[in-house]
Amino acid sequence: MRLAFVDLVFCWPPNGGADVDLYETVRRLQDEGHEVHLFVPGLEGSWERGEFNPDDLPFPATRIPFTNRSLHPRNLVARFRQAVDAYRPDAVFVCDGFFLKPYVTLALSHYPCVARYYAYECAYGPTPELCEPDGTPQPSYLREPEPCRRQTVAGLKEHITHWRLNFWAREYLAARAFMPGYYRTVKAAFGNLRAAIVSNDIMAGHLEGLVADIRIFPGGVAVADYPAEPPPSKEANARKVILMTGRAEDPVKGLGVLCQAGERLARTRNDFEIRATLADAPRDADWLKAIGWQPRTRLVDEYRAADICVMPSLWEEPFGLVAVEAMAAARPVCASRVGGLKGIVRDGETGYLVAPGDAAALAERLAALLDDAGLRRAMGVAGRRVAEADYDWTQVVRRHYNPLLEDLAS
Amino acid sequence: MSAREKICVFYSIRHNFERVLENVRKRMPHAAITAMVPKGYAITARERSWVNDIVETERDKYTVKDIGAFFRLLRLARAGRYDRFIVLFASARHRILAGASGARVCECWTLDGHIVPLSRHALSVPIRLLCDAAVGRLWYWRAWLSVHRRRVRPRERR
Repeated sequence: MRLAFVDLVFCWPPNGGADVDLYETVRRLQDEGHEVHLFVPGLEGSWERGEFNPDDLPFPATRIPFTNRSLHPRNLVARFRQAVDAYRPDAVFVCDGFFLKPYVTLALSHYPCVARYYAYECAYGPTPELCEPDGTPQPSYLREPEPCRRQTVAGLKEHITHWRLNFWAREYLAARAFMPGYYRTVKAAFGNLRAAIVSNDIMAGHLEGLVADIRIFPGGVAVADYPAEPPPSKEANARKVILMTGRAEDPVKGLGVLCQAGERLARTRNDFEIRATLADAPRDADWLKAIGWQPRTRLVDEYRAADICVMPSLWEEPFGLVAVEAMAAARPVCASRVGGLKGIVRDGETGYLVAPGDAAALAERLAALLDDAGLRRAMGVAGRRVAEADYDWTQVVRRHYNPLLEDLAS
Repeated sequence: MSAREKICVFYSIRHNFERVLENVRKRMPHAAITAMVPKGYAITARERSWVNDIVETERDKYTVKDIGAFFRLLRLARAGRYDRFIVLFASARHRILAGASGARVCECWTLDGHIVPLSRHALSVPIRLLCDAAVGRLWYWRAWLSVHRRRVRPRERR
């Protein structure tokens, strides 16, 4: 099949998990024999959107340049329609994007159109934050548009009045997402989709009744890139590494809870070190080390050096790629019982699940793993097995994308 | 381009900085390029290959409260006697820094290869800030009126 992928925020090197997901999906579908082409808007002077060199990608890609002034729905839609029509695809995948995504979805609805949602943008639309720092979810724009609209404008006040617009705020204004008519556009876009791909059942629940075909696809990892050997046994007093990767500085990722758990552990033992992908350590503790933001290639080395991985998220993680990476690296995972993590980490088998925000429970589970090298090893081996069977990219594409494409073709 | 041109590139986020240093070196292969980076910054081998000199600043973030530190940064920028001062974002702080660096040419280099000349006029920054604030407030009030005065109609909600 000829497949067109449209992503409104794609960058390479990646800015986040969605970029990696798209890159791997497109690459693997090409390997499966499909003709693929990626279309991305490039915003002049922006490093947050469309920043990539097509020569760095293993599949064909077109960067459609825009300026701040020309990035408005009518122009965006016209230029994307022109570019995609020239490619004449059999199906279109509209991937990451925020407020402009519904316009593009509508403009390309003369093709079998599938939308990929990576987080809760499908339900929360113009809400600047998906949840409060303590993890309390915001109201859904689809069900309660009025409080959402007000909350968004209030949340973006500083950005807009000082005219310091990040790509989120810029897209909000460009899409006129504050207007009441925007709600109709969002709903119409959902109605025209052949299918929507989401990462967990919470997201699927938000789209229930709006999209005809909702499919839950996991993300994936290239399992072969990760060390297959579980952590080596260390002497009882040797320092074991507890690793937290991902956007550790984001409050909803739960670093605060991990630090509380670290303090509890530090009262009785000094055989551990917590490493987090942070620019600066938030407190002066010899057991906490900031390792900075790591590119993907170096991250594998961090996993290799780790004994235990943690994901103490406070919000309903859409997927939980970090946990899958840790399992692919044959490391036991201590994670919160939230969102996609509930389905990834098998409690007591590949790691432990604890209640979100429960530092005492987290400390207890970490202590159990620190004390028992055999347990770390057994959970690591089990995690690797699950990652190979369920989350390897080749498996994800064959098991999930190929049946979807067959349905689209029919 | 003069072979002796002295260029200072002021640090920004890692992969942006790397990319812009590469662009600067490609466009001005004979220039003496100085990378101005925060203290303790682990410069990569790739970054090092494009620069002639590395100057470390006192800190990596400057706030309004650290006015003394900001003046020391300005002194550092002026001490280099650069011909061209390059920043990666055209924010007010970067404009002030570039304008006060004493360089004849001040520019903002974007990742996609665009070069935006920055004015060295003393009033350019406050004028720009005032214009931005005016535009921003107009947009904000437009959005505020829309969400508080115009509701999503019940038909649209179904």
